[in-house]
Amino acid sequence: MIEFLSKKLEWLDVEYWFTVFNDWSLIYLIIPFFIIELIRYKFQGRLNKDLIFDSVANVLTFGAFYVIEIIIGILFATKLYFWVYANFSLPHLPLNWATVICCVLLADFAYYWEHRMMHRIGIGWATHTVHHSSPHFNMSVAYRFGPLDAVFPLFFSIPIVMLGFDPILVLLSELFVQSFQAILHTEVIKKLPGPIEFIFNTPSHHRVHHGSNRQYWDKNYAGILIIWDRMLGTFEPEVEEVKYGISEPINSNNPFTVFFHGLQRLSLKMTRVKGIFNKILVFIKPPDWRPK
Amino acid sequence: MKSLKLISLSAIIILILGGIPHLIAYGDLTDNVINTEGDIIEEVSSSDTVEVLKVEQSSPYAPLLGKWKVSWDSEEIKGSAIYQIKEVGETIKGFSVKLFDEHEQSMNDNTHVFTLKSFKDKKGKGIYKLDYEGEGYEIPCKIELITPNQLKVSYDYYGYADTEIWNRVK
Repeated sequence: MIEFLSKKLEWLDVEYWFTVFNDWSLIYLIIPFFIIELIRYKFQGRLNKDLIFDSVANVLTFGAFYVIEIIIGILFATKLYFWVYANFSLPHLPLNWATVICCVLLADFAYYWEHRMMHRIGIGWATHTVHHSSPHFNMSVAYRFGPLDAVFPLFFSIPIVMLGFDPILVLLSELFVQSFQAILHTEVIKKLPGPIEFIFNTPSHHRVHHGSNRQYWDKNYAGILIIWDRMLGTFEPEVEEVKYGISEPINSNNPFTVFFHGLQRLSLKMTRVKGIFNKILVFIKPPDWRPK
Repeated sequence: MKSLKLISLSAIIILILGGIPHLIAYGDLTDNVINTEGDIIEEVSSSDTVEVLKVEQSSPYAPLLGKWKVSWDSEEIKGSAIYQIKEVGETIKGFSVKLFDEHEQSMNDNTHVFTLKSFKDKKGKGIYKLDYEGEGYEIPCKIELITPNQLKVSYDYYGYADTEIWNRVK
C-alpha cells in the first residue's frame, strides 16, 4: 500500500488524467446527459420556453464567470499561489499517489467550507444565490455562476498550497471537485445504492441542497464526499419532494438580472440598514440577518 | 454543532490529509537505501537529504569525471557555466567552477550543482540543483553519455521540462 502511495508519478500523466476528467467530461458526460434530460422534459410535457431560456441564461452566466475567473487568474491568483508556494509553504511534496489523493480530498474539504461560507455570509450568498435561483434542476444549472464565485475559492485553496502541495495540482483538484459536482445536477438519477449514498455526494443529496423547502435550507454542502456533511452536522436526506429555487424567486431569465440579482439585493439591503457597523455586518452575517 | 467541535474536527481532518503525504515522502526518502551488486550504494545524505551515490576506488564512472560546459540561451537565463564532476569521498558530485554571462564575462564559482545517483550502460540518474526566482530546487534528472564528449541532462519537474547538452572541456 505504502509502496503504491509513494510511487512517483509523471506530471504529464497526472495532467492528462485531470484533463480527461475535468475538461473532456463536458463532451462525453455533461452534454449527452443534458440532451437526455431535455428528451425527458419533452416526454413529461415540461419542455417549455421558461426552461429553455433558463438554460441559455445558465450558459451565459458561465461565460461571464469564466471571463472574470481568467482575469483574476492572470492578474492575481496564479501569482499569489506561486508566491505563497515559494515563501510560506511546508517542504514541497513530491508528485506521487499519496500527494494527488490527499490533495483532491483536501480540495473537497476546502470546497465544503467554502460552500458553507457562501451560504452563511452575506457577500457569499450575494454571489452564490445566482446558482440557486433557477427553479429547475438539470445539468445546465451546474454552470450557473455568480460574479464573485471565482474569488471565494482562493481563501480556501491557499492553505492547501501552504501545506506543500503544488499550486497547479491544487487548481486541478479544485476543478475535479467542480466537475464531479456538475454531474450531480440531475433529476434523472434517483437514489443510488446505500454505501454510495452514505459516502459520496449524489444527485439525491444535491437535490436537497437546491431545495427551497425549509428543512432543506443550508444542507448538504459537499462536493465529492457527503461524509463531510455527516461529520459536521449539515446532512439532510431527500425525503419530501424538492421544490427548487430560492425563497424570494427572481422570476426572470434575463442573464443580467440572473447574474447580478444577488449583489443588487445585497446593496439594497445595505442602503436600507442604518449605521455603518450594521452595513458592515450585512456583508459578513448570514443572509437572513436583520439588525435588532 | 458547536464552533469548537467544528474547528477541532476540521483541524484533525486537515492534519491527517496534509500529514499523510509528508509522512510518506519522508519515509520514502529515508528508506531509499539500496544495495546493488557491490559497487553502487544509494543512501540518504545526512546534511541535505539528497540521495547520493557511493563509489569504490575502481570507478566505472570515469567517463563522467572532468569538466563540462553548458550554455543557456532562453528568456530566463543567458550565459554558460563550467561544471566539474569529481569524486568527493565515495560519491560523484558536480560543482559549478566558472560562470559566464551573455557577454562572456566570467567569474569563479564553487557551488554544488549535481549529485549522481546511478550510472550504467552510459545512462544514469542524478539530482540537479537549480535556482529559480531565488529558491533552490533539487530536481531529479536523467543523464545519458551521448559521446565521450557530450552528456545529455534532461529533467521534467512539475511540468517544467528541459534538456541540456554538456560538452566536455579539455
